[in-house]
Amino acid sequence: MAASEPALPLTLICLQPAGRRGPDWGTLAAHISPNPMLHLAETVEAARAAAANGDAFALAAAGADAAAAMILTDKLIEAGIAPRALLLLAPVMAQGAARPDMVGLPTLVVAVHGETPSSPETLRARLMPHLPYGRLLAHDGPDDTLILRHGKAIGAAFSEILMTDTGPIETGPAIDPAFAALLASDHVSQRTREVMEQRAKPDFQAYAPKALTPEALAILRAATLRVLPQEGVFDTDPIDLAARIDTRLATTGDGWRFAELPPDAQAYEQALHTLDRAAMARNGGPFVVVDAAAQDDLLTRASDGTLEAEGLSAAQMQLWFTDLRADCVQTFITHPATMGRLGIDSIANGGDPVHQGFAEIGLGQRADWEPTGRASLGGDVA
Amino acid sequence: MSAAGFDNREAVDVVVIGTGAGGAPLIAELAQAGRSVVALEAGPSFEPKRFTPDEPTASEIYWLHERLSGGETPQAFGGNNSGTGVGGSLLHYGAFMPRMDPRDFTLHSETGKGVDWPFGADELMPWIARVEAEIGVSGPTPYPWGVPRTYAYAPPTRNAPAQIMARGCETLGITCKDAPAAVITAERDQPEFGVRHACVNCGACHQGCRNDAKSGVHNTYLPVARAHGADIRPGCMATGIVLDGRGRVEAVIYVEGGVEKRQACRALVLAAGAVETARLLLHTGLANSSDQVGRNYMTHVSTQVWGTFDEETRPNHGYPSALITEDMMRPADADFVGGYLMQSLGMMPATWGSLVARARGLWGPGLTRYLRHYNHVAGLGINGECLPRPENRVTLSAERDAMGLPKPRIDHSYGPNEIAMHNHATRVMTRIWEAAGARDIWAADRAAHMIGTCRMGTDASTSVVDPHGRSHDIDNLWICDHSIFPSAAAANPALTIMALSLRTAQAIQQS
Repeated sequence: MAASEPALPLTLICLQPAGRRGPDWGTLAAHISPNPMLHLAETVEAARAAAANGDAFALAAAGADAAAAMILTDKLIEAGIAPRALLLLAPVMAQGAARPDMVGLPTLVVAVHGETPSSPETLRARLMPHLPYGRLLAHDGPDDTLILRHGKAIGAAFSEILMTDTGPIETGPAIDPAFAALLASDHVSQRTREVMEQRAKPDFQAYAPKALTPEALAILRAATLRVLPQEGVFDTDPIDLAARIDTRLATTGDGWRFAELPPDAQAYEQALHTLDRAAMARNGGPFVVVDAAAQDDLLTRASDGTLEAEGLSAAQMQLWFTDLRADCVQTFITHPATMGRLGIDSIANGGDPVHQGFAEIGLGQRADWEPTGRASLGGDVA
Repeated sequence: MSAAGFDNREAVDVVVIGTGAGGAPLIAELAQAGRSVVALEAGPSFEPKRFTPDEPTASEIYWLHERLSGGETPQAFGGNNSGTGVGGSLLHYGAFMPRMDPRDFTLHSETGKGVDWPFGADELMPWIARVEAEIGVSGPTPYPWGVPRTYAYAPPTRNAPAQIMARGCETLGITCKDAPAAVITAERDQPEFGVRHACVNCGACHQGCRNDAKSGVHNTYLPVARAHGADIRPGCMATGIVLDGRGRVEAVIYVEGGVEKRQACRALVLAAGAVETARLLLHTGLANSSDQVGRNYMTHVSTQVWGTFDEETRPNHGYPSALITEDMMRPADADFVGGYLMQSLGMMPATWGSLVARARGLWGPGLTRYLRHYNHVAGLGINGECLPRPENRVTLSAERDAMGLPKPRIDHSYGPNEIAMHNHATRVMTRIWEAAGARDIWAADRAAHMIGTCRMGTDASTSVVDPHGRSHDIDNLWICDHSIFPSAAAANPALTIMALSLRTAQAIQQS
């Protein structure tokens, strides 16, 4: 991530309703480098007016005002007057509170250990999925002494956030050179090559889900890492299977679904929340927060048809889990980077105008041009 | 007849709904006989050269209108069972082309279970032989089972799974042979179509054949039909049937480009497949005085066994089902009625991976590790008899699709016979794979194909159509696809469907 200098002068617009006890914004501002000018806005309208004066600014809010600050930020971005960054101190997101799906802005979220609505566990599961460029900082409470006790650390963290470049952060594996050369060869048709080029495009950390809610996407991201771990095939970034499954869920579908499940996108949304509620009940935390062993235990129960939680039934969860497994595999194995690693050459079965096919098709045979695959395993089975 | 087609307002002799194995041969026959024919195809017209082995993209040739799968053995649709486009499911079928075993026509007489067909193998044989000759089928001559026959083309080259199956079967004394396949292995020039090239072992039969080595109807019967004036209309989804005052079909309603249209006709042939044909009849409420429409939905017991081998198998290479054994059509130790055909299996990676995910149930590091063995796996698979059961059926769900039609619900449960056959096949195939040196052997419990829902028979109270495919209720309504099969039989259905199609065309001409 490239750093850039914050534009000066910078104003810190703090949404601070009159009569509500707020944090010591002045002290906090003094800890942010360079020390911004402070503007306390008593209403959302006042904050919007302050933002519109043309100076560079960042937006801050605490507690119950966090949701309003997020909505304001979303509207300001839409209006072309984006804040440099967003600061949310011990935010409280009431159940069902209105909030934008995603705020694509560098954001520092300060959580408070042990305080349920603002605990790092809760915020990681409920708020961070909405903040693709967000960073979560956790301090011990209580939250009304946060600035007093941790102002310096928070200020320093926010200084870093202010210098975050919000250019799209690309993730995902690269295609091995030998396979890239095969894709470029006359063994691949032009149409297939174009499909592969499209599919090889990187994933984005800030992918905004098209079918699922941000919370569900976060759960799906955590689940897919357990269902189809990519270590051993890719030593760097995995393919973002969850984002790609979400993209598919937003299309027309694959021609069928289990009659016992709602339509695919709904089934995913409901199943992921059911998984999350089961994690809360059994393991005391959201699915994205509990450890890998707990996640595996929950998925084992889904697989066995014994996952009981509010939402989909255990039998429905079992059916959904077969769909999830299949979607993971399909997404993984059709990615050209995976094909390269596993030495799979099914897409190199003929080009244009000559459709060559394969000449060496017997047991143990392979033409010289066919890839072997760094991660391909042989006949020895553990 | 002009190539521009027929005017919608003028009644044509015949409208055919569906251009796959059921519709196409009949369309060609009737057009050649001088009848005016309009064919309505819900899907597009594809250019085979543009087919791609990329599996997600190849779903363009699958029927993707959502179906709801219920029952104790809910069946996967989409890629496995139903196609779309001019040429129908033959665009994606595996082209495995065995003949229906004569004993399967009389299963009830033989065993007291299942039902007999209203005619025997002898009746269908001339049509079977005609289809084989007209589309181009390869296979071994002599063929070790059934009546003597000659295949016009030499079999495709054996791929690794076929070589391994031969090794395993030889050890156990099971006869196996190159499979009859609707794939040509020498160039062929067809006057109405042009040159079809020989199979190049590209392995992507199920994703659409790019050089027309695979024999479908888009490269055989449909070009003949067009040359004789048939009006084949892609992108036309039939949604209704209009009767005249005497209760005979007078027109078909269909949607083209979002616009509802009407085509008048003197006769209607439904050839949309076991689910869509039944759905249209249930939706319109026609031809169902027997209450049999939608009932006795059948599949094939399609158990597979997979194993891992020391040598590379590269299972995406070559014609996927290159070897066959018919030795299990009536196995001596059977604890079930009917029989099954076995084939060697190669498979494209995403299809195989989805099978692993669904049927093997792997997840976590074990799943990743197993996928990494792809280039060393090979499979065996069967297609076996599935007995008709009235509770296995197509019904209309409460949900509507984009066309406003109710989405179909398909309930499918195995009975004891299917379970016994699955277990038998699992044992036999596991033994073959052990004999062939496989490691990490596992079985996939799966059903494939769609059969039944509008069974044919002589009794109007227990069947939907007569033995020639004509509705008992409406005398200018015909059904011509696998929905009229009274029993599933073991053979893959395409050859039988096409033979029935030619036979029904003759009956329509004589009617």
